[in-house]
Amino acid sequence: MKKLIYAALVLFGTSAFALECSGSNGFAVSVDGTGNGELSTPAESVTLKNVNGSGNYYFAKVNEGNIRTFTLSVSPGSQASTLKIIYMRGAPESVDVTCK
Amino acid sequence: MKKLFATILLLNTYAFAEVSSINFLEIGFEKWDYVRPTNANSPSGDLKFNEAKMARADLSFNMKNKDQIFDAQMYWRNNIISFTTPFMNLDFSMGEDSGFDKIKSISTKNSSTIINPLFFSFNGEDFSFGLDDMSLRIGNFMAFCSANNDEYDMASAEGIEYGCMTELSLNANDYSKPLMLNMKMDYEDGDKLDFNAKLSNIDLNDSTLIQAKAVSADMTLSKYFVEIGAAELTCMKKSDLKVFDSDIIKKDCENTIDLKLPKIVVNNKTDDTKFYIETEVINIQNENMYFHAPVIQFVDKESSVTTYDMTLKCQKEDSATAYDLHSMIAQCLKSGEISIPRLVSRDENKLWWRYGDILTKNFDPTAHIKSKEKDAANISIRLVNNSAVVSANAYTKILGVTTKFHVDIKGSVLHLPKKDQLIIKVKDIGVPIGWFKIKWKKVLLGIMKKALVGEMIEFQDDNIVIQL
Repeated sequence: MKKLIYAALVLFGTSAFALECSGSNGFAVSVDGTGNGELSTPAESVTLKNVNGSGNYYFAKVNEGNIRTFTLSVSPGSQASTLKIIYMRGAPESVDVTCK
Repeated sequence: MKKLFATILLLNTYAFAEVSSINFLEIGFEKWDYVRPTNANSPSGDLKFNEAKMARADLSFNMKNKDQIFDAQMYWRNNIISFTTPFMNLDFSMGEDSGFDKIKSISTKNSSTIINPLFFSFNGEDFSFGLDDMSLRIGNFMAFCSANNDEYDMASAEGIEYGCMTELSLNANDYSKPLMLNMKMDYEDGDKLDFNAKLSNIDLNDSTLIQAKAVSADMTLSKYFVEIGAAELTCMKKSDLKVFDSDIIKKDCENTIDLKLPKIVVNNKTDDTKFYIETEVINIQNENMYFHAPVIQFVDKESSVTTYDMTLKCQKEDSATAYDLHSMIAQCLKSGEISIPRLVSRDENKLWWRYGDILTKNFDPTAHIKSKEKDAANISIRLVNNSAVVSANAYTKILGVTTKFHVDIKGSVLHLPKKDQLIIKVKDIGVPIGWFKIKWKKVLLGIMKKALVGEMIEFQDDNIVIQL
């Protein structure tokens, strides 16, 4: 029974938080149910830890490579989302991504 | 700066309580202009935004300003900022103590800001704000602040201030161009400062270390126009200061400053003199100021004076103001030492006109001076409580032969800040054996007149009057 509850919690947690989004030119972000994941740009890929957010807005500190942080806003009721990346060097970039 | 935060937070004035919140605001401004109204019923500005994403607790919404339907007029009355559109009105109460009424103007275009619990960013093409006695404008900017503490919620005005007093970086948004800064200030005495800089970055790290790098800068203050090549500034602020208090930060910074200003060109517009300064060290530590200038040159249209390896050490009490000339003169007169190993005075007829090439074409205004040339050497000036002791070797031609004299001068210095004057009262001159004092004084003053450039020096009997 304990295993069942644990499995249910894991599944619940995963479904509540996990997301996978991709856009053109190699932009992608994925986050698992524990808040860890990966962010890719045409130039680099970085590991994500402790992604905050739920529902329609996500963000995390990155401070790796040239990426300082990102935000991901998911339009309610739509798969179309906006990934905004803030770089150490260079202007922030806003790209359309599709999430599932 | 609180006012600045307040303006950025206009659309986000509700209180956020929990760190775990995902309260956020992202807004892209096409244009926002505000001018303090003289009549509360008149519009005080316009707001055009591209997109706004906002959330508070479980409520979130995204707005796209499609077909400019949300272009708004702004009103400022009764401590409330209102944005009025044909379809909706938004009112933001700023509270009675917001200080927003002191803001004379705000303008931004093509910029965007992100506010959330972890960080604050603001980037764009142009942002400016004005108060009654100063204005600040930045162009091509990218500001980023973080509290470096995941438990701390930055999604509030206080949170942004805390974060920006912890970790701040201000960089160029488009890295192919510099970050532009313009600051104008009106001083109470009528002087006006106009400062322009092309910057690489301004950073605050670990709540303490402030660093700024400039590609170039220029400044107009009173009769002086100052041009600066590349520059670097390092100073400290107290790490526990988490609110923006410009007076405290300025004071902390000036008392710990380390400046690298390799090349400075100063133009005095009233008497057509120019100065060129190469500095190696300008720092203030532990209530002492140290300045080392490998070259300082003064020119007018007919002559030049160049000093080599000048050093200046003065006391600098914490209460003294480093960027106030009279404050620092007073400090140096209390306790100071000036050393000039070599001074060259020359007749010139072209140099003044070449000064414009120093920063633009890397022209060296000392290249034509031979290494053996000198009119004075080993000049030492010790200042204690307004008494001055000067010793120097002076060189002058007697019957065609360059002759060296050692001279000691004792005097006192009268500092008259209100008149912008320094008066050196010569009390005693130690003369070489075989010279009469009266004769030596004539020789000495002759050398000094030759060595001084411009109309700022006047001799009145035994007094030397320097008009600053």
